[in-house]
Amino acid sequence: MIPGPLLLIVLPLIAAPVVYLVRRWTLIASALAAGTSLALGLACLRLPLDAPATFLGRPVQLGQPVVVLGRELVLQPAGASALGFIFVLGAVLFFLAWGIPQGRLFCPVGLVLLSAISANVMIRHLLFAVLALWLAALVSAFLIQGDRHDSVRGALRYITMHTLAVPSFLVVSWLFDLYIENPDNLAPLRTFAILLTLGFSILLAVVPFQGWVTAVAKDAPSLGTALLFSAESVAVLLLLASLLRRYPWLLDDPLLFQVLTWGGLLTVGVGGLMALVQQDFGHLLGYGVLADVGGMLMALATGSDLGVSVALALVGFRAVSLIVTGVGLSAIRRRTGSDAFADVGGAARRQPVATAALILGGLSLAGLPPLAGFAGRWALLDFFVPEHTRWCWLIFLAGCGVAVGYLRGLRATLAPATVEHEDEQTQSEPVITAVMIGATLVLTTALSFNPQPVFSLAGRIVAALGLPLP
Amino acid sequence: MPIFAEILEKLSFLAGVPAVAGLALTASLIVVSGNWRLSLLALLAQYILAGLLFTRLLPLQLAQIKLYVGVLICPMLYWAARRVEWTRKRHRQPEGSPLPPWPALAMGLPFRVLGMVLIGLAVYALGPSYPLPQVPWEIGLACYWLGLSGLLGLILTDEPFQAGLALLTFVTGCELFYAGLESSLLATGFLAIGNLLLAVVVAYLTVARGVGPVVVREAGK
Repeated sequence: MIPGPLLLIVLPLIAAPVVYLVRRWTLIASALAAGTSLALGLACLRLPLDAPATFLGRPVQLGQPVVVLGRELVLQPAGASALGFIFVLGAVLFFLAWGIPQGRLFCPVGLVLLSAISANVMIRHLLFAVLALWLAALVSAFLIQGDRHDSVRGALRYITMHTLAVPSFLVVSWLFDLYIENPDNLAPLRTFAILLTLGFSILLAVVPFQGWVTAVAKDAPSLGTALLFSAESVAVLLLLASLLRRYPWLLDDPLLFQVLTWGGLLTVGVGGLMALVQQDFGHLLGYGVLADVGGMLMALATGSDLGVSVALALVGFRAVSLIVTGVGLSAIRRRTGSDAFADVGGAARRQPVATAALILGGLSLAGLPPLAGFAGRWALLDFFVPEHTRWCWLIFLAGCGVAVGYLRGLRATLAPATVEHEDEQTQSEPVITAVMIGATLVLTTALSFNPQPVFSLAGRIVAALGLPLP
Repeated sequence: MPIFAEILEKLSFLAGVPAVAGLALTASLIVVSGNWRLSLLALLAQYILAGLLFTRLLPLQLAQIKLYVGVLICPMLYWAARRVEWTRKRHRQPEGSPLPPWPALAMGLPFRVLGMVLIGLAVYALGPSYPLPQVPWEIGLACYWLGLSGLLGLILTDEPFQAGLALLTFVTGCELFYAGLESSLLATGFLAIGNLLLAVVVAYLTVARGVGPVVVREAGK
């Protein structure tokens, strides 16, 4: 009988070197990575946790705990749903990487990243969960850098900020161990709150720790951005929720939630305002994500079941928006060699499908109807009305800022082609690329009319978490 | 294995204030120096001195692991820096070093020295006022010095080699503090893997940054 944790951690690690070896044959590499990820995702979502089942002809029990050097790893219902989402997302991205190449390291490193995130979700001890997340961040540097030679800023900022977040969790973990030995001693509650607030603020990119988001969005392959900003958000939210479930007295100090609320408001404001004035699609994507992350933090900080559910649903809709805008951005970067507004003139005529995906994905990220992001943004606004009408206005205005940024981008793509791209006007997009981009456009529109799968998955995770929140 | 244990044992008389003073010097060199060989040598010395302090907080075997990791990290970074240097020299690039000159006079040597003086003052103020729990006071000072120097180094540069050394310095300071709190084999192992992976990433980014533009230029010709 193969225990679930072993399967979810080891199988991607076995597949990764094989995928690396066949990386030159994009179809085979993508199919292998997507197949592995999809199989694990479906297993997480479909197979029972508490009973034996068959996975690829082998007996498995997903909920069976594993003890490694005295530390327990176990897949719980909330973790199963979250990992199901992450693996299915990974499968979609790996498959898209076949028609829209993301660099030779995207699929193998993506698999290693999924393995590390699985470990993070399943390890019960905070220290090792955080260290697994740190290792995931370090591995991600290869994915972010990809085949780029002109800039290392995204990868460097990403590993720097994630490394800076680790020490505060190390000390918190030690304090938790002290608390377990002596539960009556709640004296260092303020120290807990300060350190947790600092650590989570860095990981969740609360202003002023947001610099890595825009740097990654600018430098990373755009489907890699979608993977990082979605999978990591889910893992961090789950880590925070599981801490609150195990140590409900953390709620006695409101510092963490206050910082998340005000930090969220600031992050929404900064994201929306900065998106308005960007001159390239990479940074615009980063600030669009930041505005969305701010809304997620505000929902999370309310501390209610519904708030956490809305925060998780926002991550789901963000993932779809990022996929759509990401495929368009990749195709345009590939053809033009740049994503600056000054260089993308004529792209709308050269690559109409890719341009449509880039702009519509961005508008979805801004929360405009009839696109997937609208469902999440509407749920967020609905959640805050009528108590926090001013927050709703801020979220709405930030969305407008992102939307205006993308409309400025659209105007740039409609401008005449620059001299060096004039000769490319007659070349059309490869059929497979256009079909893939078209499929993501259909997905985002369909999800806006039927967003229930995302909400129900988020609700399932929150229900399984059993949070002690009011 | 026994060689490292013997070295640590023979140098154990230094595992106090002399090692802390040495760490202050090495961390300052890493932040201030513009010569990559000197910076790397300072990093190696830093790992050896930190290894000596680890022997006061951890069992000898675990302290050795920390030392091995440091000794493995330095050649990785050396190889990356040498590769950048060779490639640039071979292609007759004006700048042969993986550490480009400081970007502006405002961030030059006097500014860095001044920054380190301020770090010294901050450590002098923080050490007695906020002593770190579970570690002797002089090791607490070393933790503050390494952590703050690392942060200063990160603020001052965007170059992966210099920033990587600063990040490794910061991590060493934090590990020194954490060793006083927790001494489990698993935690030490995880941190060792993290450190090695961090060094691999820094080496990779150093090469990507240093060699990449040359390769692209050559491919374009």
